[in-house]
Amino acid sequence: MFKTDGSLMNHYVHFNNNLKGFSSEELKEKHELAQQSFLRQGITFTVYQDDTGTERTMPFDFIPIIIPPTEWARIEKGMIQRTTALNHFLEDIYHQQNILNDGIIPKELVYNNPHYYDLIHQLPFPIQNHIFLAGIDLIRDENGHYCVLEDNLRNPSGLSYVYQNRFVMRQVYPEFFQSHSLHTLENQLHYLREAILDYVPDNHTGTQTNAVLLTPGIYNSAYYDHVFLAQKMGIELVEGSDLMVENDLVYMKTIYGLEKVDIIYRRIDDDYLDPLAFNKDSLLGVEGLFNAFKAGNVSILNAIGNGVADDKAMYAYVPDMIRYYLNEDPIIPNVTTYFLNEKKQRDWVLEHLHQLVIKNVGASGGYDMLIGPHATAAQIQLFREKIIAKPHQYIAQPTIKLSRAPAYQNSQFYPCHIDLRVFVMSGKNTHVIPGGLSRVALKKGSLVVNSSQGGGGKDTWVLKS
Amino acid sequence: MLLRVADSLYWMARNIERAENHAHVLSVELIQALEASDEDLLMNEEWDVILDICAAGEERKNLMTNGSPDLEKIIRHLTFSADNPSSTRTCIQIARENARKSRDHLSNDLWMILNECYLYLIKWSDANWSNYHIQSTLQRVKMTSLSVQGVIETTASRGVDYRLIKIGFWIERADHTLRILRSICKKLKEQPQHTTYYLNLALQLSKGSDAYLRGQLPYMRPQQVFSFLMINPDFPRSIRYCIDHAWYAIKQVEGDQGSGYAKHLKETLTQMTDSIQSLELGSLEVDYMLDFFRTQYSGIKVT
Repeated sequence: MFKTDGSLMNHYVHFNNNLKGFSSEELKEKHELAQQSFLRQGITFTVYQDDTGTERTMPFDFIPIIIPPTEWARIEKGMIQRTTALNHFLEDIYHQQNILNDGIIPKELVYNNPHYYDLIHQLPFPIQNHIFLAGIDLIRDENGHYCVLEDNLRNPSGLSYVYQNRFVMRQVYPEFFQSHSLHTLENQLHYLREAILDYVPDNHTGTQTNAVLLTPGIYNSAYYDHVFLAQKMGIELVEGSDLMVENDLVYMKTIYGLEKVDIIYRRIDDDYLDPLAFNKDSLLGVEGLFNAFKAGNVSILNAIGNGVADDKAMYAYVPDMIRYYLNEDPIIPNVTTYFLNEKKQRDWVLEHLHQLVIKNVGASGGYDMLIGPHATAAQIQLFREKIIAKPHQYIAQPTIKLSRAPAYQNSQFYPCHIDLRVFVMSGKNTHVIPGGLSRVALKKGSLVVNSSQGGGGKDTWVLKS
Repeated sequence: MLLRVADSLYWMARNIERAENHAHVLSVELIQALEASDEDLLMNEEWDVILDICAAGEERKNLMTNGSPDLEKIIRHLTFSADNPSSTRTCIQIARENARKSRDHLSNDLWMILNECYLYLIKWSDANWSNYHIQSTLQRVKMTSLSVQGVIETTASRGVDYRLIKIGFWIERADHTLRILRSICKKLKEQPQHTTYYLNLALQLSKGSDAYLRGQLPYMRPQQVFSFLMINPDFPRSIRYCIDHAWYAIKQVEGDQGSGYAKHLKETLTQMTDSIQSLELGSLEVDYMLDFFRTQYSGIKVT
């Protein structure tokens, strides 16, 4: 919102003028009304380690992130470029493996990756597209330039929050919209509906195509997201127990008997999809689902094995993928990332732990990470030992230069770190939802934006040109 | 329509209706209790009827203090107790869980009304409540049920979802009227001198007082009251009315292709319809009715 010299950015001028019209009492009232709206609508997530109050809402902050049109055009192009390259990569490593044979990416990074599934090697995938819905996390550096922080190619959640944040903004803060012309979100999900039906399985016959969304159920932290997507796509929301496989065909159990299922947008992890093929203890999945997929009778989205491409270590190679597959330079760069299995980098990182963020390449949601500037000596020592024991398990990134945006909490404004999750939908065509989910680290001074770690959400506006 | 979703819609509706019914009987009884003294024997007997209707008869002993009904204990048990599977709070909680499971089939308004009621009940469950507050809580539960039904009637398309929800409402309503009649019948047998009193209570508990007095002669006689609550074709809480409408909805759901989904429910309803049709309308006397309930029903048990 503000430049480094403290002056207001041009695209925030109107917003700031509107903001000045509110009394502090009005702001407080509106803030409470907005939080209540999420609770009343049951837009909650489950905190797993919390035994008592399991349902919580993500705190909402009313100061939007405003993106001017030229900047958005660049982000949009960059996101399409990135997901296209990532999709080429997934198709390649599960087939020819050219990128490994050409030495662009170390083979062990793929073969040792727990999300790489040899099982699907050489199996065809409809329209050769592995990424139906991606959530790419961006941050801005000290100069306000966007960089990619993380790719989420498995089960990215939060799209429902994008819509709910806008809904609450319109309801509670209608005054802010008067002097702005924004890209509306209303018709965006039309692309998602169209895209899902592009994934017709190879053996499909007849005119009717049945797509479903497979959820772990109401206790999953992203259940509301699943409900929202199923509703907006007009497809049935199913649990594992609603499906069964017979003769390599997938059916759902309806009150009229069995009905064939052709496309499954699953929101459960690979390991839990089919107890016969993966984790045998899974209660969430469907026995025989993998065989049905192998036989070309059902499409599973996002594709099995996508995790190998959104691993925190693989992330560092995405710019190389873009150059390799598309022969282009990355439009949106990565955040500088240090690999700790390379001795020189590791030694430097171990010297500078107090300035860096250390992340476990296999963890998400803000778990098993060290934020150097805020860590105690004991915490730093613990991560030093962890890194020395398993250097390939960790990466390091700089922290200190991230930009901040104002947030309003406890009746006051203060700067918070934010990131932006941009959603990319792909069928035969690729489309980026304008804006995305801005997540904010609401705890004063915190760098972690995850909702499970006290993070909140903001509306994101893309201005029309 | 998925089997699981069909079950969720059905049980959501049953539990909303049950919460409303239990809230209504407790509300009626609390107002009656205001006028009765502690020693009022009839009042104590009345609480037996309420506990029986609300499936809390087995807890009777625990809800008494020195041989008299303990209002605070009763209110807690029937309204807020998380351990009572039929308390208003539990019913709303079950309804909400089922609504969550089938949320993609429900309108957002419906979900919000139900969710708000749940949040309200959870908030008050452990709080100190007053008699005034209880009445407003019970009123809120009743309004929740009525609002939910209003949203369904005005916004839901008349497809399978709608019919399944309606089946749940009709079955629960029939079951509730049945429970009231069975319980009142027992009291009439034990205390024939209070027949008018109990028949009046039956009409109040089944929300039938106004409709009965408008459409019938003002006689509080078992034959008229039983006949009204069991087989009146125009009163939407009579057993016959509810069963007929449930039947109609089931047929709509099955359509031409048929479905084995509601087989057990259909068998139960057939048996009920047959036995109600074979009732001797001229002899709806207490002994006959009590015998009828003993042999035919102990609540509609449909899973």
